[in-house]
Amino acid sequence: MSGPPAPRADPTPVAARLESLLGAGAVTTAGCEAWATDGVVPRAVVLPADADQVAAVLRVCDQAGAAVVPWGGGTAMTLGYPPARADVVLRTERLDAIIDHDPSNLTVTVGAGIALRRLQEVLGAHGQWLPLEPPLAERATAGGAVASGLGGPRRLAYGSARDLVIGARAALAQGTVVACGGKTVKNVAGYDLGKLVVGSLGTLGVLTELTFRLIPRPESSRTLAAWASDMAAVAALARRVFDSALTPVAVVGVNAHAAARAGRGAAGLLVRSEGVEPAVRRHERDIGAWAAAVGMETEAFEGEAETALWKVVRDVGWWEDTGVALRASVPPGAAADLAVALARALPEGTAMVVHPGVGTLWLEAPAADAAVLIALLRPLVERAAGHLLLARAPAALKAAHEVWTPGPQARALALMREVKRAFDPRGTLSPGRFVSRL
Amino acid sequence: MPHVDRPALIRRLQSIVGEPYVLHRPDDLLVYEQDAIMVNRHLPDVVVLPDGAEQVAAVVRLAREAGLPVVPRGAGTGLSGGAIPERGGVVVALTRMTRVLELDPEGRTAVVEPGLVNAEFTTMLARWNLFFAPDPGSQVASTIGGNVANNSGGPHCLAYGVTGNHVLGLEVVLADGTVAWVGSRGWDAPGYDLAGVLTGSEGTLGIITKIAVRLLRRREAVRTLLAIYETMDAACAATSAIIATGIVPEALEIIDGVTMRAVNRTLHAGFPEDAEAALLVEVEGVTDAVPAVMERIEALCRAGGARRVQTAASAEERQNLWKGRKHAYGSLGVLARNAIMLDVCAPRSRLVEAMRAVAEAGRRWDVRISNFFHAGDGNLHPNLLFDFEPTDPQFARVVGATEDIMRACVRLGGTITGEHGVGIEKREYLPWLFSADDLAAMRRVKDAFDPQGVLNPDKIFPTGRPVHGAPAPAGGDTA
Repeated sequence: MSGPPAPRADPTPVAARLESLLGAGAVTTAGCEAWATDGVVPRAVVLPADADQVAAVLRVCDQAGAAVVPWGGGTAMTLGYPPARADVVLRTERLDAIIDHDPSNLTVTVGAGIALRRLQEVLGAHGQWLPLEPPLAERATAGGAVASGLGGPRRLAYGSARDLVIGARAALAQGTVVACGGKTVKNVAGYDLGKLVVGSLGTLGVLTELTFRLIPRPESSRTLAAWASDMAAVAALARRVFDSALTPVAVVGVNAHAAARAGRGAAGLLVRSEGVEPAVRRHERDIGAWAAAVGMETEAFEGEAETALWKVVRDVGWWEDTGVALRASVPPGAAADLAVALARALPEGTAMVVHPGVGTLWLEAPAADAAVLIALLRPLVERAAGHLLLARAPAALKAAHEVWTPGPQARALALMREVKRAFDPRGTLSPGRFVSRL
Repeated sequence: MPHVDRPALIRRLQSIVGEPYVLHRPDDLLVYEQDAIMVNRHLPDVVVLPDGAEQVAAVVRLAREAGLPVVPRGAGTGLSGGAIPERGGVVVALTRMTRVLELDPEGRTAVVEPGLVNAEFTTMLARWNLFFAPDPGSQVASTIGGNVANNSGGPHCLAYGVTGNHVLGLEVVLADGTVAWVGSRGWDAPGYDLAGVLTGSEGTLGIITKIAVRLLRRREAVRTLLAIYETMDAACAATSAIIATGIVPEALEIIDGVTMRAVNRTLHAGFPEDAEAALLVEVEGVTDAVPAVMERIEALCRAGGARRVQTAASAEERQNLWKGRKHAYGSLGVLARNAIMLDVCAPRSRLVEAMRAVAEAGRRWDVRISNFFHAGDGNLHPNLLFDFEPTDPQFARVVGATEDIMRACVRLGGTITGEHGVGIEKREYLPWLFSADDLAAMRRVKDAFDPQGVLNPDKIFPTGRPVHGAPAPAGGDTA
């Protein structure tokens, strides 16, 4: 699949120059196997202390022809194609400052390497949170969550990274640091370059700073689960919910195998509602009645049990180290039907989680079933005008299968190449990792 | 016109879009010389009204061949001069393309053409209990294509987000006359989010010919509250208090005393003549929850010193409370012959200071200012009122006041435009917010999309020319 091996820059002088830039403690050349991306082992791992050092690292590497792979919490490094080259892994761990939390503006500006968990703790003390819930959020960084662009269960109500990032700063391949946006929730001054970095897997620049809009923590939150014998009943109840004026923050269908991960034995619909108590009660009452009318059993989750349940949903695809993760993105109106069609055909042992309001289906299966799953999903997803992402798979599987199918339309892809060339003309940043091996 | 003779160009354009849809007589072109900003104008060489991406693409190819710039245009309600054909050339008016091409009520998505009028779309969606969330003040006239090109806001984007939060994908005609689909009909299309960058790019990166949007379900209950304050400070402080408590209403607007008195004279709206600010708050949701939320807001408003608080639940009462806000712009005519509506933002934590800076700018430059604005998202709209023409030397005072206000907002951590766009009006001020490197990064995107600068040239980016074609006023940087 991949072309002839790209010329590899002599790494020794680069590592030495990086050491003189950052100090010896911030550059490691031993034990780099731990920082491999899809088996591609870097020659050096660097820990820059600030945006200027990130820029300096990029300048040196760009001039030397050394490829750089940015690394946050390392939870989403399986996304994308194996990099064509990965000479230097740039860890953002030290860019972890809370630069400006403005609680009464409901915004926060942070270093891109801050752990999401720590950020949420600080925000929580002010009764606020950042509604970003990527897989393995406990280990993810803010920058990584943005660069991977993976949305969580509550994006139905709060949007995803593209909606939450209102300002950004990034170091570009040639060593300049550029900013866009700001700290106001409305801002149309200049192009919205923040949109370009969301989901770009670090192929256009290395994020150093991010400004997010925040939301208040709700005073009440509960989840009603309605269990059913099959996915058709789950889909029908989801339709009933979306045909109403209810305003749930997450609506998710799970097949029995996914429910088993949460200690339950049947397919089900999980509906989370948040807000003032009367609103939450109303959701429980209506959905409970609709479920009862079709003979579905219901169960309420609150507090730690609710958190644990949604963690299972959030992390599907990342449960087992040996598994593969697939994500189907279809027009929201097509998701429920696709889930019903798949439920009958999935190999035993495949977990499926469907977000009907968003049009996303996540599947996790043992690697041995991957080929069968991909063959099953591709035509169904394509027929629904959707896209399939092989989000996590052993490198050998990725060598045999495209990561994104179908890819962007040809003219759009040509534009993306132009954008990549404009920001990273020498292919320094995560070369080969993105769509169409950009 | 550089490379072709005019009659030949007109004939070829007619052969692409049909004879009635090429406007070239001076009288017909006049409508297209400006948008809703009144201080700039320039005639296009020719206006075409195409139907469909293929026609748009053919027009773009022909204009390129002729060496003419192409300026896309919706309803012409923009407030920053983005649709003004400053260098002449071909205006591509998208107002004939008004179809709803796909609608999936269950999935709450649709694909529409760019010329569809915002309010007509939402009216049409009512039978499915759906609506298109962006609701700019111009929504009865402005087009969805124009909303996307400007990333428009509106009162209710406090809760529902700006236009960009509702765009899933776009069909665009690019500068080389090819057609691309960016994004998709769902979330998470593979590749860079080009639809996200095109949104708000003011026609400088592509001409939008189809838009895939997400729709929202109408809420079950709506409550509206109007609180009257003695001072602007108190109304701004109440706004910050509501946001800080963690309540995010669907809309949170402020109308100042100057505006209230003007509205009283045109509408007999019944605002108190001596109050300096009114706060308009709207909350939506399920019937069970809305009263409880509104009670809390009411308590906060009273605690913040509101002189009078009125609430409305019925549609008629609500409309009454909104009447003053909706007719504010139209009422300015009783105050002055001319007005410039400025669009700036401050962080919501700095609203009091921002509004003080607005008042100070008015005093310093002796310009009367009325204010009605989206306080909940810190989006100010000072209206600078004047009784002379923009060509009058006195206009420098108006420019001076706008610059003071913009500087103050930048200093407070805000921005020089929240929802109206940069266009011509703000382009020379972008360096107040962005470094040369930041602007160069934006320029890289422009060059990737439109290396020859065919599409809406000179918009957004600083040109080094004087603002509004007027010499910059004297006056120090004291704001």
